Parts: sequence; structure tokens; C-alpha cells
Amino acid sequence: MILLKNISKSFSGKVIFDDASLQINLGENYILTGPNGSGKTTLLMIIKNLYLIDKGSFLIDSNLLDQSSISYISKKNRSFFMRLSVRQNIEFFYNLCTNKNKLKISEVYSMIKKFDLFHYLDEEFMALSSGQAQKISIIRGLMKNPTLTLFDESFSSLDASSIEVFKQIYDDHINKHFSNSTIWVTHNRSEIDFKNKKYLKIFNGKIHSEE
Amino acid sequence: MEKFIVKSNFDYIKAVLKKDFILSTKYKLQLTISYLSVLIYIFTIFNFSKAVSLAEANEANLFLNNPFLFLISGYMIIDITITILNIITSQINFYQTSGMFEEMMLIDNQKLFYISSFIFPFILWFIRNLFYLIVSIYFFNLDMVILLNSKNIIILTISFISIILFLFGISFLAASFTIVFKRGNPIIILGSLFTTIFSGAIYPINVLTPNLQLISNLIPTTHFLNQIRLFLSGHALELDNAFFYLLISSIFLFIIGLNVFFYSIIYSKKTGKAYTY
Repeated sequence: MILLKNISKSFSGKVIFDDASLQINLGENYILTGPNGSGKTTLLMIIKNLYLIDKGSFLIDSNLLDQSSISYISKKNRSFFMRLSVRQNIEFFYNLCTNKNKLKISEVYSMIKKFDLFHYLDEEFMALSSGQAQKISIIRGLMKNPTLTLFDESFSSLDASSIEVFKQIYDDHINKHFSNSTIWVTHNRSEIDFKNKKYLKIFNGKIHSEE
Repeated sequence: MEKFIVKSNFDYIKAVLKKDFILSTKYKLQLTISYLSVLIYIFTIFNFSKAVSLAEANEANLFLNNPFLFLISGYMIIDITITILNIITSQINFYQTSGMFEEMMLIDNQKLFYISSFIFPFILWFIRNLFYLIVSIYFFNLDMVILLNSKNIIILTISFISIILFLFGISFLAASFTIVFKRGNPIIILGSLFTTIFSGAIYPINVLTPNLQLISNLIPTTHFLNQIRLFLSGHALELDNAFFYLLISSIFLFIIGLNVFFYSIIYSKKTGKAYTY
């Protein structure tokens, strides 16, 4: 469980969160919406410890979860070493992942195969299209076998059939345990088709639950 | 029509010039130091010529006895200083400009990641400098006498590890500056210049005024250079005050540098500055 209690966060005087609270229960999937600039990405980055809160408390139940079992998959699909091959990038990030539950490398390659990218493995990363790079970015996020996965508009460059493939990959490799959870930042609620869905909306510096 | 094109091109060039000027004024410290460095280079050349013109040959003066060895060892120290000082900063610059910094911050075990980033450039430095020595010995008759005994080897090894730790510390300080201020790194420039002018890399520190010699003695590199030159000239190394100063100050600076670096990451996570360039 993750508990954000009365948190405040501002950047250069601009208030993003003001006394906001949120409880994330493991085993549930959250869809996070809100207007541009409302703080959706900021919230994910706080949970992943990429931003620190100004006030309030941020608690993680360390018996169930730690930072190494949380994955953040951003919409940036160019955050790779462009002059290394896809395989070299994958192996680099795989070897630097310390999560003891991380997937076997064979499973990672199996995901690449399902995304129909196997024949690109020895291409330089810069040769990939935006959608292909996004798929590799998703695989990088999933390779640590996260308990909680934060998706930040991660499907923005993916076509409908690739999203279906992703769902298959997620169910086959990651979603095997009752405690697996996701948080999705999206402007298209219909692309998220998971059980135990809950809706969250950020508005005016607060996080609201929606039906 | 022609008049319009000329004016249009003029406006174009003016816009580029204005953009460059405004950006350069955002990094005033960088700009100032780049101009100050002119004075420092002149100071270095002046002191070098002063050392060359010293008439009285002193047996203990490593410079006058073997100027080639003196300068080669000095150059190697300047080379390793510039190499190590730039490692983390150039990587962070690369990650920031390529939009990868956020991803690199997600990597587990950050300390090990950054410390292991030193290894490859260090190996390159080592091979390059070994090559310098081999070429100097076999093609330019570098006169070198080494006293290989266990005491010398132990003292030199500890001194070498110390100087590497010292440079890692400064490198982490420089990287902290880059994380917080993005561009314009006076720590790298100052580190390189201090090594060049005060550590005795190009000329012996005794050509400096007594006050400046005090600064020289505060820099751990000065003591390491002295030891490596003594070692390569066949002298026995001693466990003297200079050795212990080098050891303690290097460990101290490494710890300071590492902590400031991780504090700068915390600061940038608070301000949100880490992921923009």
C-alpha cells in the first residue's frame, strides 16, 4: 500500500498539489485523468521518488513494496542509447536492474518477439520508429517484474493492435500475482481494459476519486 | 526586393546573435572564468620560463636534473585531472541533453552506477599514459631509474589510490554543479587550472612566491607529483607528512564530493530541475 497524506508540491511558485491525499491499494488498477498541467506526471514521479514532496507524508508499506519493484514507464520513447543496438540497450538496463524478482532475460526476449521486434534486435536504436521505441520502453519497464507499474501516457505512439499485444504480454509475464497494480495516466479511458479499475482525477491541486 | 532580403538576413543574424548573447549572460561565472584563464596561462608560461632560466643547478631539483621526466609526469597528471574531472559531468550533460536523465535516475543503486562510470575512462587514461611513457623511453631516450622495493611500491600505490579518490571527489563536486546549474562548470576549469599552475606540473613550485607555495602545498596533487617524480628518479619514498596529508585530504574530499553530489540530486528532485535542460 502507498499512502500520500496531505502532500503539497509546487515548482517555482506554481502550486501543483495543495494538501492532497491518496491511498493506493495493491491489486487495484487506477486510471488517472486531469487537465494538462494538473500534475498527473508529477504524481507518478513522486510515487517513483523522482520528485520529492514539499510537505505532507509519503509512505510505502515496505513489507509489500519497495522502489525497486515500482516501474515508471514514461511517454518519452527516446530515452535510450541511440548508437547502441536494441539488444545492447536491453542488456544494459536489464543488468542494472537489481530487483530480485526481475524476469529472466529469455522472458524479456519473448516479449520483444510478441511485439514483433525480434528482427530489430541488432539494429541501432535510432533506426526504430516512435511506436517501436515505445514498445521497447514498455518492455524495459516490465523487465523488472514490477509490483506497481506507473504508465504515463505510455501508449501514445502505439496502434490499437499493439495495445492488444501489450495486454497479452502484461497478463502472460507480469500480472500473475493478486497484488499487481497499475496506475495509468491517460486521456483515453477506453484504452485501459483492466479488472478492479478505479478512477482518479486531479483538479485544483487535489486528487479526487471518481466512479 | 534586394533591400528586403538584406534586411531579412540582417534580422536573422541579429536574432541568432541576440540568442547567444542572452544565453552567455545566463552563465556569467563561466564567461568570467574563461577570460580569467588568459591571465592564468600567461602566469604559467612566465613561471616555466623562470624555472628554465634558474642558473644554479641544484641536485635536489627534479626539474633541472631531468626536465623531460619532470614535464612528462606533469603532463600525465594534468591529463588524468582533466579526464576524471569531466567523467561524471559529461555523462550527466549527455543524459540531460538527450532526455535520458530521468531514465538514469530510475536505475537501481545510483552510487555504484556513477562510481563504475569512472572505470572505462580511467582504463583509457592508463593505456594512453603507458603509451606516452613507452614512446618517451624508446624513441626519445627518457632517462628513468626506478627503485623497486616493497616500501616504494606500497607508498606509491596508496598515494595513487589517494589521488584518484581526490579527483573523484572533485569530479562529483563538478557534477553536482552541472545538475543544479546545468551548464558552465567553473569547478572543472578551476580544478584543471589549479593543477596546471599550483601543483608543480609544468614548473617546480619553488619558483612561486612563498604565499603561492602555501596554496601549492594545500593541493594533494602537488604531493603526489613529487612522489611519482622521486619514484621515477630512483629515490626511496618516505612515510612523511606529505604522504599522510595526501591520504587524509583525498579521502576527506572524496566523501565531501560524493555527499554533495547526492545532496544535489535530492535538491534537484525538490526543485524539479533535474529533468530539464
